[in-house]
Amino acid sequence: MTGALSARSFSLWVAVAACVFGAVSLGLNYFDAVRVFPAATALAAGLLVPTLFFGYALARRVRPVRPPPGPPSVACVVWGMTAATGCAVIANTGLGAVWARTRGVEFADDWSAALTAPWNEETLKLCGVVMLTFAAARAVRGPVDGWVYGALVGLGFQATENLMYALNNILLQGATSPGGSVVGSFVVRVLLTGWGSHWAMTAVAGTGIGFLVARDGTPAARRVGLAVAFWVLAMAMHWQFNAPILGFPGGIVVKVALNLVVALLVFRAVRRRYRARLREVAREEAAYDTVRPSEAATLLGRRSRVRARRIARTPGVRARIADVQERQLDLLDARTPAADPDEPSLSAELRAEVAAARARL
Amino acid sequence: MAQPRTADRRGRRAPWWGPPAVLAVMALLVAGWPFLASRLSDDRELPDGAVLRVGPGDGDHAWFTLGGGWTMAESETTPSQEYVLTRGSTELSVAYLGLMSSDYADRLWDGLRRSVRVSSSDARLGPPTPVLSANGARGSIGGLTQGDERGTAAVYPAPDGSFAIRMIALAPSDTDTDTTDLTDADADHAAALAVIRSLSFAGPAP
Repeated sequence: MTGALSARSFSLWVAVAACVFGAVSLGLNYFDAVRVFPAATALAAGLLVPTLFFGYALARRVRPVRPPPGPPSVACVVWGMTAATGCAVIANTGLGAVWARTRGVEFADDWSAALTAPWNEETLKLCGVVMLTFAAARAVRGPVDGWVYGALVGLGFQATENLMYALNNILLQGATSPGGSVVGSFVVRVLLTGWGSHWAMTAVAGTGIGFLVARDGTPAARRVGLAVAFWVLAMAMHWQFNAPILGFPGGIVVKVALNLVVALLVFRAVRRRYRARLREVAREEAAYDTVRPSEAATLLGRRSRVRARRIARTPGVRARIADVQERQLDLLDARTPAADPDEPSLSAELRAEVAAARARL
Repeated sequence: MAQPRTADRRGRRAPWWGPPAVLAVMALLVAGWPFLASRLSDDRELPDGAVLRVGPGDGDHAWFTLGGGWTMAESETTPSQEYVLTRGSTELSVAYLGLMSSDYADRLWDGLRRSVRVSSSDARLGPPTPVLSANGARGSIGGLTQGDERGTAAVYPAPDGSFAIRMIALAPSDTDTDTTDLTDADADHAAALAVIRSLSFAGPAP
């Protein structure tokens, strides 16, 4: 146990160090622009915050059955905002220079974005989901968790990148209207392209990490293959978004829609798989009286759980019913990996907790 | 009182090699690409009389003409956006600026005064004077000092006001950068001033 805790603590400190490094990189690159345009920066930040909160709430709400825990969710956003973005600034500059110096400036002007950002940014963002599996092993049990946490990493990346682009836009428009440049950038990057941007790409890539770490009996080679495949798919989504293709009016809408559709199709598939597994486990748990058939009918829906609690008249009893429900869901979640070697002993402990919670009703 | 939950306490052991492996991947990208770029030559010599186009697309661009001795910094140049050129001790940047409205053309010099302070907090832009390029482009030009460099800045709004071209030439502070008398300017800076005065919105000179 001490060794396991130490390894997780080490993972946490490594993640913190990466986030600090990324934040320093961003500061060094953008401090001067912030210094010269403080009001426009404040406007950009003001537009960024509600976007961030909306995306955060939405990503956690779409996770089936119940939201992911808060601390790993926030950690993913922070990784995206700092470690991934700050490192991407350096990596993209380097690889962009390689393209310009080897293929010429005309080629780099057209293709550098498509050949640089997918490779660097998808890898750096995905590192955040991978670090999460080391620092909080129970957070990512399968592909649906990978999708949600990947979306949160991508959201954080998108938020910081929006701020960077807003500041860049001020200079690209000659600082003739800093506030207007910020608003214009926001309209394009949030209202127009935000629907199929970084959150969608990393949600897809994160799904692969979910498959990789899921203890469901799938052979390791297949799990690795799935992880690589989803990473490549995410890079392909990013490539088509940045590539000089679909240049007709409205082409950007097609690009955004394509990414959104891919992300949602992947989500639909993994959500269906996850909910089917939960229903299967709930039926099995009827034999232990931990999840009764009548409870299974209401346990997997947020609203149905609330309705089931409202049968009780007093807040105290409702809270104890909620406690039973949460421990039942802990048990079902713990058993979703069909071949977890920890499962027999862990399930026994969790069943005992459900029984104890029932006894307190 | 909430009872502690087993689900919060139990967890899979993280492999010891995991975090270092992630760091190695990140380091490969962050350090590897810049290292590889540093091994490649960045300077491309440009021919005497080269006519370069700056700007993103049809109708949204301008041309300028170089004399001899110029090299282009390839990693800093994006033809649709900005050229960074060097001749001896003088660096010349030529940038495309998109304008949200033609009314904003009047704000270009004030915007430039703020923009140059992003590169250097002590940058100071002098008052503008009208300039007419050899190809009929009308703009504003003035002196610029920043750090231990001094030079010349110019902005030319496009005839329809939809964009502008910003040109900045900087050289070490002991360079003679008098914009009113080309013959007295240092040769490199004089060449830069000639490029600034070559700007055309109407296409390359025949």
